[in-house]
Amino acid sequence: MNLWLPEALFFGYTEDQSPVYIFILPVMIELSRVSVTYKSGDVGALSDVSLCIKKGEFVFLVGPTGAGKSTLLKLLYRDARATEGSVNVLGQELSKMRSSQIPPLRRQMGIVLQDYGLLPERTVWQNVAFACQALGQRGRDIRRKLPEALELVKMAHRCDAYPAELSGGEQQRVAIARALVNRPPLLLADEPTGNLDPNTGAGIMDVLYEANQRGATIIVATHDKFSVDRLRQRVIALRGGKIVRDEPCGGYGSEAGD
Amino acid sequence: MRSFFFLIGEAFINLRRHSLMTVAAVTTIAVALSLIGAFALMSYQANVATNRAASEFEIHVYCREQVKKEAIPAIKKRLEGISGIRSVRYISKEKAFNEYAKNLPIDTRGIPNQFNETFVLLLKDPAKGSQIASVIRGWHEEVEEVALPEAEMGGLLRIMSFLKYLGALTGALLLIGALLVVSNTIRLSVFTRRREIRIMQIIGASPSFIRLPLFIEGLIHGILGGALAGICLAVVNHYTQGLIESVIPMLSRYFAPIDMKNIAMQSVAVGALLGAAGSLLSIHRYLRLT
Ligand SMILES: Nc1ncnc2c1ncn2[C@@H]1O[C@H](COP(=O)(O)OP(=O)(O)OP(=O)(O)O)[C@@H](O)[C@H]1O
Ligand SMILES: [Mg+2]
Repeated sequence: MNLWLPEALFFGYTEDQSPVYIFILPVMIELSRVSVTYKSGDVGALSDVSLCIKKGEFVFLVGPTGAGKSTLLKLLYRDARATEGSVNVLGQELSKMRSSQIPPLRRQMGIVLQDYGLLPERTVWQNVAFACQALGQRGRDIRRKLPEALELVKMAHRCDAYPAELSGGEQQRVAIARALVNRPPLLLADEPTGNLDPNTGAGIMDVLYEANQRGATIIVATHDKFSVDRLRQRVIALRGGKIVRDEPCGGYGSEAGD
Repeated sequence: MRSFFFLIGEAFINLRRHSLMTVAAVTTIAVALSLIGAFALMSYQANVATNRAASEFEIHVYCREQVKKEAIPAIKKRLEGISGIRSVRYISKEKAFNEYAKNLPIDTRGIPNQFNETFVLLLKDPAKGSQIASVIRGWHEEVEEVALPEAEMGGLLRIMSFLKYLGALTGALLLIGALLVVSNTIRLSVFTRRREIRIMQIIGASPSFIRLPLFIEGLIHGILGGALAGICLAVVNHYTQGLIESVIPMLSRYFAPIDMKNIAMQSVAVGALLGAAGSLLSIHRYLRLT
């Protein structure tokens, strides 16, 4: 499957004999009848979820606390496993995946964790560089692309600071720079604006939106009503581990509030 | 290769970042290796002393007067046939007399040769001396007397062989203990970093990329600990040798001089092995992906 270019399918001819193609966006993520039950929890975190996300889409995952948003994202980077059903990401079937294939899978993604996940004993620069070093990139290349990534989230001026010396929102921005630095085709963000003021939050969402405009597929789990309503992208609403709404150009809606 | 140097750099940076853990691991290894080294040295010295003493441990077999010269080779053969005998040397009665006479200040001319035909036996294991002696004493036809070195010698030898085995056994036990302690220390240091390791896994770092710095870290812990232990051993060895010489000089001739440079090198090597094995043992468990 070609993931990077839309597939052109021959459809037929017009009256003046010129060919007509239809373009189909390649599938990025496909879940079919997926359920997740955590060992410790008795109720399923996700139950019977099916969805399809195409390349280049921008998707908001909304829903009240405990709805299963984080679980759904974890499923996609194989941090959680489906108890039932199949999960297909970037053309790979995750339920059959060996653990040695997990790192290569994750390198094709940018992941922004709910708790930022910065390495506490490394500076901002080192944290972002680490995502490149883990991929075995050369120091020269890293030095070239880092300033751009840090500039994107407006953190270039703090590149020698340690995470503890940054505010929550600044750490969040560094985490996003790290997720974007290798220009991954897929970006998964778990509440990237979780504890930011509305203005900064909007700034972060704009960064993600720009990445989407450059071709990345973006999935954002969020409670940020303001941004969801402003950007008007596809919205998937979860509640109690089930999809209750899936709209192409939706708003935050009422079911997400609890 | 580039990545390899990067990972070595990472290991050194980690050593500095986790300096408390480094100190803990290095001192643990150093203490363990010092103890192991001390027991190994003790065992070695006991071994050397036993061998030296053994080479001085001779049994003299004096033949009866009526034993004919023609019978000598047969007796020699019989003696050599006893198990536990390293060598048999024959001293004829003439030779014994001549040697004796040479050393005597008075004129020995005209005095009859009352020496016996003599065999000097060297043993493989001096501890079996009295046992072998009693066997030979049983040959009433030929043997008049069997002479053993004093009893203290036997006691000394028994103590030495006891020390030898004690040293080896304790050393081996300590080595196992040290491996456990080192692996626990490194496990602790990996444990304190589990969050960091998890983040690396989320970023997509391969297991070897995460493991190698930890492994190199363990290796360096081991090398540093080994070096420290080497220094400790050198100092202790220096003083104990001085002590033995001044307190029981009679014993010191049984001990070998020790090449401390060699010991220190071995200590570093064993330390490196210990660190590597310890970190392999502990890293392995923390790097499973979900
Ligand atoms: N590791 C786990 N073990 C057991 N149960 C879990 C685990 N992680 C999540 N759960 C449960 O699964 C359900 C879904 O959790 P999830 O984290 O996906 O919710 P969420 O939609 O991300 O919520 P929030 O908006 O608060 O982040 C919750 O009921 C939660 O208690
Ligand atoms: Mg969540």
